[in-house]
Amino acid sequence: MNVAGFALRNLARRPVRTALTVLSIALGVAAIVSLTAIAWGFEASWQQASDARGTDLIVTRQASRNALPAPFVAAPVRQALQRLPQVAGVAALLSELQSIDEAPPMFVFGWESGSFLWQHLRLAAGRWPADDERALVLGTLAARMLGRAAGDTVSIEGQPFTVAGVYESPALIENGAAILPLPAMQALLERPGKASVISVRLAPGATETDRQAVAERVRAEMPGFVALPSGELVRGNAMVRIAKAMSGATMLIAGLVGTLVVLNAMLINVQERTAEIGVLRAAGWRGGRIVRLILVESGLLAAAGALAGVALGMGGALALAQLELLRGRIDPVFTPTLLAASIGLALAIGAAGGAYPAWRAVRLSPAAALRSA
Amino acid sequence: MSASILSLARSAPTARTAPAAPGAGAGTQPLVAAERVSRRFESGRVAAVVDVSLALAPGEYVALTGPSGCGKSTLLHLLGTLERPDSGAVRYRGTDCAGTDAAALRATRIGFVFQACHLIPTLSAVDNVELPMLETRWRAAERRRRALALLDAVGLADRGAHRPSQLSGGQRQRVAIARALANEPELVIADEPTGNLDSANAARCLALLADLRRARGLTLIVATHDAAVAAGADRIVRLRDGRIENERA
Repeated sequence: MNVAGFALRNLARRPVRTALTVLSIALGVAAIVSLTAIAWGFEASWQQASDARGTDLIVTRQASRNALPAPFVAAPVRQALQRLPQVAGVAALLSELQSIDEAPPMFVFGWESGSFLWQHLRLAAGRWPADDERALVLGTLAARMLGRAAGDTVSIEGQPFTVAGVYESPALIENGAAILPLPAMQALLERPGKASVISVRLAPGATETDRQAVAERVRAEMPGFVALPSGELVRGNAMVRIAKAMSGATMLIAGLVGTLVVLNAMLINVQERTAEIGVLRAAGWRGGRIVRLILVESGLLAAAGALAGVALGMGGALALAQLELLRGRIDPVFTPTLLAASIGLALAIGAAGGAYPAWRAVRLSPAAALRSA
Repeated sequence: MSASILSLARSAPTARTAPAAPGAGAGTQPLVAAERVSRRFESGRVAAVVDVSLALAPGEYVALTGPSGCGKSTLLHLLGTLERPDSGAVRYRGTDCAGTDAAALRATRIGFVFQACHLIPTLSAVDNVELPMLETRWRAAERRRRALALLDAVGLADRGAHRPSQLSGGQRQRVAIARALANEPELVIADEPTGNLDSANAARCLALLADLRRARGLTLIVATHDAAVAAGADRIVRLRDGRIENERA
C-alpha cells in the first residue's frame, strides 16, 4: 500500500460524490475543449481556404477587417494592383451568407471567371458556369446538404440558378459553399462592379520583402485600403476574435467552477475524516504527508475529470460541427497544445481545490482531530 | 528536529531519524515524564489537566483511572505529544518535547490504541497495520512482511485481507493494537482500549497487551474505567478534576 493507493480507496469510499465531482470537472474541461476547438477550427477553416486559393495578400478596406468586408468598387483597386511588378495575379471576390432553397445560410462566393481562385478546385460533376449565365457550382458538402446535383435548379433570394456542376476543394469551408461567377453574384446582391476583397498572388519566387513592398504601395497609393497576409486578416477577423474570447471566458468560468467543485468535495471529504487524520498524525504521519494524501486525492479527481472531459469535449466538438448551422464551415482543431492546456488546467483545479482542505487538515492538532470523532 | 530527539530513534528507519542510540543512563531516567503540565480548553474556561506531574519508567505499566471528564485522555495526549501543554513540560528520555519534531517521535517511539479503534474502513486489516510504516524507509515488501507478522502476533494471521467491517469488535481492537506496534515503539498509550468490548474480548485484549509488553519490553500507560485492567498495572494513578488524586502501586 502507498499514498496513491490509499487516496484511491478514500475516493472509492463515496462513489457517488466522487463520480459527480469527476463529472463536473469533465463537463468544464469538455466545454473548454469543444469551444476552443470550434474557435480555432473557425480560424483554421478560413486560413485553409485562403491557402488553397494560393492567396499571398488580401486587399480590403482598412475599416473592414471582418468576415465579410464591406464591398467596394473593385476596378480601380484591381487595376492599381495589377500594375505592381511583384504581383502575378489579382482576383476580385464578393462573399455573402445566403440561404439556398430553404436550407440554413451558407457561404456564397462570387469569383472572377478564369482567375487563379478556381485553380485548386476539382470538378466532381457537371461543368464550370459561364459569366453570362445564371448558374453556380456547389461544393460536394453543400450539394449533399441541399440534395442537389449538376443540372438541378436552386433558388437564392427568390432567383433561380442552375447548378452547373459540383466541385471538390481541399478547404472545408469551400466544400460547404456555392460559387457563382462574379457578375452573377454582383447582380444577385445588387452591387454591380463591387467586391468585398481582392486576392493577390505574388510572382513566383517573391520574397517577404516583395510582400511588404506591395503592402506599402497599397497603403501609400490606395487610401483607405490595406493589404494583409491572409492569416493576419483571419486572426483580426471580428468573428474569430469573438469566438476566441468566448472560449477564453469559458476557460475562466470552467476553471473557477471546477475549483469550487473540487474544493467543496474535498472539504466534505476532509471534514468527514478528521478523526482518521488525527489517527494518522498520532501514528507519526507528518503534515506534509497528510497534505500529499489530500492533494493526490484531489489530483486524481482532476485527472479523471480531465481525461473524461477531453474525450467528451472532442466528441462534443465533432458533434457541434455537424449541426446544420456549422456543418461545412468548421472543422474542429484539436492541437496537442489545446489538449495539454485542458489537462493542465484540470490538474491546477485539483491542486487549487485540494490546497485549502489540506491546510485545514494539518492546522488542527492531532488531539483536536481525534476529539472530533 | 533536534539532535537529542534524533538520538531517541529505535529501529524503525525514518527519513529523519539517525541510527538508534538511546541516551546514556537511560535506566535511571524516566522514559516519559510530565512535569507540572496544565491544559485548558474553551479559551481557558475548562481546565482538563492542572499542574500534573507523572513519570513513567522504562517497562512500567501504569493505569490511569478516574471518572469521565477527569482529564485522562488529555493527559495521555500530552504524554503522547498529540498536543502541547499550556504550561509545564513533557520530557522524553529527559528531552523537552516542546519545539522538537513530535511527529518523528510518535513515528518511531510511541504507539496509540484508542477506544474506538479508528481503523480506516476502506483498508484491509494488513493495510491498516501498514499505515504508520509509510513514514519509515522500509520498502513495501518489508512493510507488508512486518504487518503480517504483527497480525500473526495478535492472533489475526488469517484476517489480513478483511476490512474492519468484516471483523468483530475484539478483532478490530487487536488490529488497532498491531497498528500501534507497527514501528516498534517503546511506549504504548492506550485510551480505554477495552471500553467498547464485551468482557471476553476485553480480557483477551488485556492479555494480549500484557504479553506484548513483556515480550517487547514496552512501557504501557492505559486510561481505563475497568478495575480488571487497572488491577494488572504496576501502578495506578487516579485523576479527579484534572489533578492527580492519588497513586498506588
